[in-house]
Amino acid sequence: MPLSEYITHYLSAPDSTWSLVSLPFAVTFIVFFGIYILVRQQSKTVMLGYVLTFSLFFAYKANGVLMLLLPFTMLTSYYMTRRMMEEEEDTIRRRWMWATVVLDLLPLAYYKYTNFFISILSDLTSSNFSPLAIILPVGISFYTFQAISYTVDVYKGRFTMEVSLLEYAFYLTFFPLLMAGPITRAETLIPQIKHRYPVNDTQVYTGMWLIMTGLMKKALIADYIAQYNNWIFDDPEAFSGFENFMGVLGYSLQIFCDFSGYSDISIGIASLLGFTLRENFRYPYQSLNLQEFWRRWHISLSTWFRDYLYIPLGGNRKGNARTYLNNFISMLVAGLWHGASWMFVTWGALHGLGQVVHKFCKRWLDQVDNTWYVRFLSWALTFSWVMLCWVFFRSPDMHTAVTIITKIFTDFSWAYLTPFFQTRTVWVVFVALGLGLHAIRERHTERLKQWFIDSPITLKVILLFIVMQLVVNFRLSDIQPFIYAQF
Amino acid sequence: MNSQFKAFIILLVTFLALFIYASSPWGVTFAKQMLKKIDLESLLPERTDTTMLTVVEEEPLVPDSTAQRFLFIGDSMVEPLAYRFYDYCKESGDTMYAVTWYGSTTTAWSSTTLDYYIKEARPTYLIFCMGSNELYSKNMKTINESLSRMLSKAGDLPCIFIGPPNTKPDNGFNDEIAKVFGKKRYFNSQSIEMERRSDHLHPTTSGARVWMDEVAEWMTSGDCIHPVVLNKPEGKQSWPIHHIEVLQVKDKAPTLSPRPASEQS
Repeated sequence: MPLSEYITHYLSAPDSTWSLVSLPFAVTFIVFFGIYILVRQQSKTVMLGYVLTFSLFFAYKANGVLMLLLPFTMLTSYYMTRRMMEEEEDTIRRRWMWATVVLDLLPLAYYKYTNFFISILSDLTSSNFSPLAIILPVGISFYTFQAISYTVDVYKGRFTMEVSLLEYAFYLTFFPLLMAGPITRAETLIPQIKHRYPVNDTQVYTGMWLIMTGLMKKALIADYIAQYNNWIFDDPEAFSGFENFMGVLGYSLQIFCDFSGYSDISIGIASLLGFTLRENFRYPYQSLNLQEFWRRWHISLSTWFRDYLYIPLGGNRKGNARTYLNNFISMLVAGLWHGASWMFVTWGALHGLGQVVHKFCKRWLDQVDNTWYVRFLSWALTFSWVMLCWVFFRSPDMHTAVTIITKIFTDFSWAYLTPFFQTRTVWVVFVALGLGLHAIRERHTERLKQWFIDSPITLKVILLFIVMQLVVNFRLSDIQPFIYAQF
Repeated sequence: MNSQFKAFIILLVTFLALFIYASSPWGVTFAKQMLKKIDLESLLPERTDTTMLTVVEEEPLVPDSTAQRFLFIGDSMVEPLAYRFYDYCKESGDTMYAVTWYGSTTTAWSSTTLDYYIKEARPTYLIFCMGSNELYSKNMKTINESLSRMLSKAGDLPCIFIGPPNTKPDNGFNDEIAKVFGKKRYFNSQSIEMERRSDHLHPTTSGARVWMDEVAEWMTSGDCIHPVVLNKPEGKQSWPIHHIEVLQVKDKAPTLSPRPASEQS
């Protein structure tokens, strides 16, 4: 294919595999980044325009024509928020705020939840509605929540900066955040857009460090161990209780590595470009209770639900019963946000229930001595509950989830340990390593990061090459599906 | 130097190294592991599916009635199938030599292991049955290469490939067999309803009987590129354990030693 034809095709064709960890993106990003360094020396408008164009191209590659929803949300939320602030009377201003939020939510509701509601309606009326052929645009849940947070923050007076359309467009379409967040507030990103702080070595190499660790988590560990976990969740009856347990344990690590790895890469790329974002995961599996877990897991989402749902519902200001209810509702909605299915709702409900029980018992728990075995028990109980919840999160239906749990409790034998280890040694090593990394103290990781920042350029090239080669090698490695022993 | 520019150089040098390695003809081995190459084809436009071959109308082939010496090899699926196939051979005056290698893959078989058994068994007809261990592999390129190597090692010998009996969609493994071996050398086992063991994949003895009967019917028909006469056995099933060689997962399969350089032409 001639080069000009290839470039035309590349620029005009959406790519179903497009993401921050795909090879086509990596190559495109290097070209983009080289030009960005030059453009950044120019005026702010040129830099914003350049990044905005690339972000829209990124959205097009991922979503095709459905990317048009992004500029639609951007324009409506920007102009309606401005219109809202022109009103002096609070009642009318509040109406504008609600109208903007509802308009922001409409595309999300249609594309994500239409078929879910059709199936509910179909079940309730015992009729036979066919699901509609709706494709969910990638990242719609994330940018919709960013748009809502902007409008609400402006309404509440938490964000008072004057923002131009170009700055807002940059904020809402910023490509590292488009696919999987972190859901970033206007107060975090917009001041950095306005003032263009100088970029230093620490910021840039922190970005590179995050990209490397993110790649190891997402493309090396998560993608490799996922192969085995998929067999378990596809057909749990074909495996023993021990293998089901390992599948659930593996999935608990997989989802952490997958999601936090992708977040690290997003934050890392933003950091390379000179924008500092907040961390999204902070050793969640070290948590000693569910409250703490949600302060460490997907922090941008949990704080979003806290600020824009839990607190508006009344938070903990209206007595214990309302606090429990508000907590439960927030987790239920958080479950639904993850996907339109009863399994996600169940996952949210279980987390909500766990939090309510913890809050209810807190007054007694606080009186227990803080010894190492109490801490260990708290950790074990929290981790086990989180693992149990992941079974419902990952299972395609309730039957699969119940089968996995039943298998673990009725068909568990340690006799599988040795053949399991012999057949899937690398898988076991990865899972042990991934969970073991949670035992490392944060200050040690910080020290390692600082060592990388201070290391010479040649060493950085070698380390990045090693990480990339590991990713290539293990991404293309297969795991033995069956234990061919006496079982 | 500007810190972003330094980061750009690091990224550029790393990716250039990966690209040069990927486009080079040689491979590097480190700690007995081949360093794999990035998939440069992922940068090319997505191609249309060419896996389904066009059906060419041909004259129906006449089944070969001469006595055959079958070499039946593959993964754990071979064992239950070979019990039934042995009875077919006995009924039709043919002989069978089967090798079931648990946990094996096309890559493992396409090495000199296949050469060894072809030399050892001196077959007149080759039957492959494998793939259950690589149904969800991400390495379709490697599988394609292994299948092509197997086909080329079969040379002029009549050969067929019995596909794995997966009940859930695979990652394109079955399409790859049809692509490399051709539709008339490939028996698609996915649609066959058979009784299975508790692992939901391997057939029970009666399940394997149903499966092998379907394969045998196909092997005698004009849908197979090398049809042979196979008489359906009646009565009790034999247990031809002496005719089936079993290799375990961790076994090192026998291979032909490479010829000394001086003997190579």
